[in-house]
Amino acid sequence: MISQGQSLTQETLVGHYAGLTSRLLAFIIDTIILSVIILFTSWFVATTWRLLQLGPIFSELDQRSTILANLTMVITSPLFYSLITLLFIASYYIFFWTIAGQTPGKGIMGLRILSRRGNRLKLRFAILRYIGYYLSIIPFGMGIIWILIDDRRLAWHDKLAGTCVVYAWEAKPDETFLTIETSKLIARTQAVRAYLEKKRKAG
Amino acid sequence: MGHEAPGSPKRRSNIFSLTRLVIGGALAGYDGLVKRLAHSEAELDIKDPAIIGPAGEMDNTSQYPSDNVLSDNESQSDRLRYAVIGLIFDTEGTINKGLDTADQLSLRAGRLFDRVASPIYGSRIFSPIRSRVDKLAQRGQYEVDRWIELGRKEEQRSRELAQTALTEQVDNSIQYLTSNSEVQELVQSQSVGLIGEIVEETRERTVSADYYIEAWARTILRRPMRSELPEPPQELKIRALPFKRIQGKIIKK
Repeated sequence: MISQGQSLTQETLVGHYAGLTSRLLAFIIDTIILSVIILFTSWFVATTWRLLQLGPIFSELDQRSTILANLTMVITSPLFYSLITLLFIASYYIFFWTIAGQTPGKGIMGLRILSRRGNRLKLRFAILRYIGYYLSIIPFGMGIIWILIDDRRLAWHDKLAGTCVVYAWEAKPDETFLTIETSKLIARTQAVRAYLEKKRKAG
Repeated sequence: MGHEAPGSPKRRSNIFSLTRLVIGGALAGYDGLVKRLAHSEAELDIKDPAIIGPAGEMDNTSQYPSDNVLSDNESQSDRLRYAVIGLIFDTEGTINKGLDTADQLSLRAGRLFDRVASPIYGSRIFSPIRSRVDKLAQRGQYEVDRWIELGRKEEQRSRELAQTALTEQVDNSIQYLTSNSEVQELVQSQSVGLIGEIVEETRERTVSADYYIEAWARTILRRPMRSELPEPPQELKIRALPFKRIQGKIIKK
């Protein structure tokens, strides 16, 4: 089916599974974007509310109808705002995953979410993936840390929705840096292990 | 129609404005040049204090050339050139000195002439002429005073006019630059290029960090380090690229 695609990806990591740092950085960028949008929207809504003096109007209406009073109570409650915010965050992720295969944060970091067969994410899988986010974060982020252990760098939410995150740019790791630093790391680990072994025997 | 009489107020006003602009520009330019030159001279003095100043500023010890000045590497024409340049600078000092001396001498001569001529000038024979000469001198003095007053006012106005014209010109230039689409494109492309470089650098570093942190985590968890990641399916490699780039590369059966 594909003939020239191989030449595209011979020397770079295009289409290879993305690691934890890139994904975490993309997540942080998305969080910043979302925070800015939410803060600005909250400020705008609060200012409009004050400017149009909606508070006195609603209290006036509350006195006339019980249904309206209940409705006002719901609208002005912090729980309602929290739900709206959560819904907005979910919509942000799900919308970008299904439309573009990447959120703005992932776009900046050059990452793309695909199904494990290489197809674009469908809505139901995107929703499932978003639910999986919470499942990954709640047990002390174990589902996210799983990326470091898994052979295909899949988090729990990826496993749940059948997705994977890949590099969407011609990524190349710094070989020299990695060779030097990894060998240092191995040497240090071996030294620690030898010390612990020695201590265990002595004990 | 449209032709102004030579002495009409509008034509006079235009010439006045132009004159003011020329004078103001010259004054402002002269001030700027003098400031710039003084600054450069000060910098040069700091860098090489051994440079000989104008003739008037030289002390006695520096008037005689050292061995370095008459170097063997220099040809006769070089020395001649230096001598002419030195003469020009020395002449400037000498002329200044000479002018001072001439000024003092003329003052003394004037006093002497006044002393000698005052008995004749103050005599009765010269009294009818004296009043006319005094009136003439008075009129001349009045004319000079008027010129001084006019010059004082005009200098101020000329400077203001030149400053306004310059500011307006600079503003217009900036406005032109900001509204010019080519300049805007240039600035945008530079900014985009810079942002692109930052993003590229961040991505490269995070890719390396992906591998390093993984190695670190695997060491802690006592899992074997992997030499390379498992090869992803070919579809993933292709679909990972932006659609426009895939279009040109995929050949469908």
